Formats: sequence, C-alpha cells, structure tokens
Amino acid sequence: MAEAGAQRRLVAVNRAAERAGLKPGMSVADALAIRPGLKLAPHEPAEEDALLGRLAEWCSVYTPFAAPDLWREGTGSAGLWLDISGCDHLWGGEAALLDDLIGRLDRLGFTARAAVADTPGAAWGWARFGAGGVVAAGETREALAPLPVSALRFSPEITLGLARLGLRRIGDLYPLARGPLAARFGSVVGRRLDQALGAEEEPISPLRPPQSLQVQRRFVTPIGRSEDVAAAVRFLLPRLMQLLERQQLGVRRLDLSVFRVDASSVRLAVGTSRPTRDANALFRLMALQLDKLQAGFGIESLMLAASVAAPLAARQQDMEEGDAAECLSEMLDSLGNRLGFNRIQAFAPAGSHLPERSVRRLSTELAAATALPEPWPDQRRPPILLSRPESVAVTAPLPDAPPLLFRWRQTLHRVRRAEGPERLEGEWWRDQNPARDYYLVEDEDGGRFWLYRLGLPGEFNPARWFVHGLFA
Amino acid sequence: MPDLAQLRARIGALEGLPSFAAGRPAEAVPLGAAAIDDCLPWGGLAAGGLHEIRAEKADESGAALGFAAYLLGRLARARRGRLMWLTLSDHVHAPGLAGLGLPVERLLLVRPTRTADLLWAAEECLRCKGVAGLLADIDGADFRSARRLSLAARGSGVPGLMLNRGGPLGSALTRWQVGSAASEAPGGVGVGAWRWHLALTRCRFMAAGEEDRSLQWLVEAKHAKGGFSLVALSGDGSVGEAGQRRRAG
Repeated sequence: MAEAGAQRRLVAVNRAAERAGLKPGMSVADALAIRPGLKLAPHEPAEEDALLGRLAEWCSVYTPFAAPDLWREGTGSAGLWLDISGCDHLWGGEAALLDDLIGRLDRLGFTARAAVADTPGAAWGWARFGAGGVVAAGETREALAPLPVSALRFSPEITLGLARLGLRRIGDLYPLARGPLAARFGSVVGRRLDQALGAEEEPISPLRPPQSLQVQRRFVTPIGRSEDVAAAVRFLLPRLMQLLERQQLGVRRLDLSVFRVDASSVRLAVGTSRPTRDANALFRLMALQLDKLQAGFGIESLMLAASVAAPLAARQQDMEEGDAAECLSEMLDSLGNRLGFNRIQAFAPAGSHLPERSVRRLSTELAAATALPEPWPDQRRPPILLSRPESVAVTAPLPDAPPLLFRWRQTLHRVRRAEGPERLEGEWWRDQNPARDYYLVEDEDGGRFWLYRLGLPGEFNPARWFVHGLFA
Repeated sequence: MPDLAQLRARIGALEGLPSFAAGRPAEAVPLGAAAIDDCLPWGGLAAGGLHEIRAEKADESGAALGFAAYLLGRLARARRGRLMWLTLSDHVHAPGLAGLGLPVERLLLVRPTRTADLLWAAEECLRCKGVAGLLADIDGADFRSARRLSLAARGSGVPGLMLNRGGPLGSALTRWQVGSAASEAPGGVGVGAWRWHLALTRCRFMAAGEEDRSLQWLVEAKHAKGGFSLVALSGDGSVGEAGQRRRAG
C-alpha cells in the first residue's frame, strides 16, 4: 500500500488502517509514526488493473455491461462499472443486487463501496464520497449537491482551482454560468457535471459486446460435479435455441461462461461448420469440452451465449437427404472440435506442374463453397507422394536412360519396365530449381516407383536420383 | 444343402449381420470384377461392415493403398455422400487417387495426430449416414476398438475400409491381401495397367470351413467402358465352385 517515489506515500488503505486514521496520500513516515506495525506492500498498477479486469469479467453474472474503471485521480481507488439497466429485477431490485455484490466481494476479501444512481457519474461520486447504496431515480441532483467537487472525477488541479474560487461542493456549481467555467478550466467541468446529472450520455463500454443471444442459470448452492454442469447445459440449450429460432438464426460459435465462487471464470467455446439450432448436436460438442472443466471451489453460475450466429432459414430438403447432410455436418463439427478444423482437408488442383505443389489443401468450408470439380492432370501420378524425395543410388547405362538398378531403403530393385522421361521444369520465378526427369519404373516383383533424375542429362556428374512416389 | 443355408441365415439374423438381417438383404457394392463378386456372399462388398486390406509384404504399401483407393472409388460410385480418408501420415497424393477412379472432389482427408484420435474419428464417421465410405489407415486396433468400429458400421450401414499395417482385425467381414504384380504393356514398351495379386483370406458366411480359406486372383485395374474398373485375369480353381455355393445359400 505504498508507492516508491521521491517520497513514499500511501496509495490505498484498508478499513482497519482507515479507522486508525491513515489516509491515501499520507507519507509513509507519518503513517508509520501513527501505526508502527503497519504492513506495507508496493503499489503495482498493472496487476491491479488485471485484477479489476478479472473482476469485471466475473461481474458479467450481473450484467453484460461490466467494465473496469481505471480512473484513480482524486480518490486513489479504481473500481468497476456495471450498467444494471434491466438486470436488477433478476435479483429482486437494485438494493438487493447491490447487497449481493458487496456480500460476495466481501467474502472474497475485497472491501467494496458501491452505489446505484441514474448516471454513471453520479454513481461514481456517491460510492466514493456519498453514503453508498441506492440513489433513488430523479433524486440525483439533491443527492450530489453536498458532495465535494472531486466526486465529479476532476483532476487534483481542477479541484484545487475550484476551491480557490470558493467552489467546494457540487451544489456550488449548479447556479454558475458555464461560459466562464469553461474559459478557466476547459470544457471538462461542464461535461462532468452534465454526465453526473444525466444531461449528457456517458456509455459504459463493456469488456465484451453484450449479447442478446444468451441464457443464464444461477445455482443456490454451487455445483462442482461435471454431471451437474452437463445437466445445466442441457437445460439451457433449448432456451437458447428458442431465442435463435425467433430471429431465424443458427449458432456458429457457442460460448459457455462458467463463473466460480472464487470470482474466477472460464469460457469454453465450440465452433460449428455451418449455422445450427440442433440442441442435441451442440450438447455433444460442448460435452467434449466439459471434460476439461475444473470446477475449483464450485460453480455458482453458467452462461451460454451464441457469440457468433448466422441466418438459418427453415429447412426445405427432402427428409432423407436432409438427415444425411445434417449428420454429416454434425460429424465434421465433432471431428473439427476435437482434432482442429485444420486437420480436415479437401483437395483441389493447384496451378503448378511440380508434384509437391500441384495440390491445394482446402478447409471443408471452402471446399463446400467451390464445389466445381476441376480436372486433374492426365499423366499417371502416384497415390503416394513422399513428402521429401529420398535420394537413391542408381545404375543407369546412359545419362538420359532410365535406371537398371537402384537401391532404396536398403533394398535393391532391378528395373524390369520403365516409362519416361517426363520432364518437369523448375519454377524459375521461385528459385533456381533444376529441371527433373521423371521415370515410372517397375521392378521384378511388380513394385512401381516414381523416380527422377535431377537436372538435364549430364548436368550433374555423378547423376543424382531420387524416389518421389509409389504407384499402386 | 438348404437346411444348412437356413441355419446360417438364422444365426446371421440373430447376430444382426449384413445380408442376413431378417427380411432385409444387405446393401452390397460390387467390386466390378464379376469373378470376384460372385465369390462373395453379398455379391460385392457388404455395406455396414468392416473390410480389411493388408499389404502382402511390408514394403508393398503402394499396391494395398491403391486397391483400397480403388474400392473407395467403387463405394463412391454406388453410394451418396462424402468419402472420408483417415490417416496419420501426410503422403496421400490426390492426383494419384484420381487416377485410380476416386472422385477426389467428394473426398475429405482427416489427419489426427494420435492413433486414439484416429480410431475415435473413424467411429464418428462410421456412425454418420452422410458418409458414402470410409478408409482408415491404421496400425492395428485393439479388440475393443475394432468391435466398436464394426458395430458403428453395422448401425449406420456405412462401409469401412481398414488399410491395416498391424495385427489382423477380428471383426472384419472380409480380409484382402494385396501385392503388386508385374504389368503387361502392349508391345512390351513402358509400364502397363496396374496389376495386383489379390487374395481373399477371410470372408464371413462362406460355407462352413471355408471362412479362412484363401481365394486368389490376378487382377488388372484399368479404364474400361463403364469407367475405371477391375478385371480378374485368372483365379484359382475354386472360383466357379464358390459361386455355386453362394447361389445355394
């Protein structure tokens, strides 16, 4: 709770220290004089910000609009913004929501002050300088009047400047003309006042864009068994599907946010290759992820959201074909979610005549989009292409003749038949690859290989040969 | 031997195996070579079961893979849906598969990184009615996994080709051993059409005592009138006999 500087000062104090008369801004020497046994900890703003971020995430239990508030000037304490419009009834009113929030934070070891008001600015001031709690709708003006002007989020310089003019209370600002104030302090004084009183809108930018496509379930007693989590997901899915159906949407990405009692949260996500509203299929996908879930000290709330949705019209296929297509996309989704969607590939011819560059690997989605079959080359190509051509020792009678003998992987192959050469030029625009002369050769046992000699006949001496593929 | 045939049919129906499930003849996909199809109790490869394909010698992976790709192409011709190819390796070359009559535009290659994932994925594919055929490149499978695959195929009617380098699969309906054979080129110039030694070393529902007897053919795969097809050039003496046995059953 101290900051290193020219002089070490307190940045924040806990309740016990406050009772002992310590205040933020006090020098450490003074504080130690008052309380010799004072425990000090260095101030680490980055960690504090990160903690606030996590708390804000956890607060999405209450509202989708939650964000950390990192304004520290004037009071020294950062906080959290929660826009609870339309959410308080879920908790039995604003006061009940506030009690619940403070109670939970207290159990987690945080001393929190909280306020609810018509505007973010008023709530900010009332939490830090007022009595805390709920400021009833429409009573903001009176409630704020007796508070010091720093409750309007001014920098210390402005507060000091206002104090020199004898303006100490927010109420002192109400009757003043804006023009001279703006001339002296800039527009910030008028703006903060307007924001606090609701004359100017001040939106809270949430951590994540809020989603209407989400459903939530809270538990009276925290749950921990994976069966219980699965049951809750099963319960939530059809409700989410109803929301989607109303808007003719299907899920492309499903997020399950798990809120634990220790204010930590995890998010599990599954993707689908095309929009779906099939609760059973989505459950099976999510079930694969649930194995990984650590319940920790218990889970108090689950939120299921269709974070990516796409239009899904009613089906008009004939039954059997529709079923087959449906189960195919389900199957591909389950494969993709476990193995990774990049592990499922389709093939298309690429514009290169070099064997290793002649095939494009497409994602399944792309493959579905480009259904037009393109022709493959007419020449004989092996079904097995070694990812790296393997060098072989060869006996060839002439530089431009197929080999008579070659040794590959410790086995000697006597060539009985051969076809070629098929000359594939190097792609000069890529690098200086020499040409390759390919031969299809068959050994005495009928084994068929794709060999090539690097370079034009006689270009390399001795000639360099490689096995590149195996024929059927 | 009608009594024996009836008994076999009843046992098969009790086991719920393809071709003998009561009143429902199993869907079968012909290999394209009449001499071979006639030897199989289903008149072709039974859908809804596993078919194992093995290389005659360890280093003849090209022939076994080629034959498997050919069979997958036959399944594609007879059935609707996607073709799934599951493998841990990365050496499958699409133009070569196209040359074996496989419609590559319907093919999806799935490349898990672990054997356990591959077997799991194979089971998922076999359960799915939208799959025309599955080819899994495996290195053996434990008894339980093999049984699960077989049950999945039976449930959905999807045929599964197991290109197996490991120990034999007990639950397969048929087992094929493939080796490359010397080709014959017209005029003796160049390399001719692909030829394979094909052996059927296991087939369920052959006559009693015949299940593990090997039937052998020399086959050639080439472009014919009806598309890419297999021709049996010669087989062992039991071919005609086996055909009669099937008709009796």
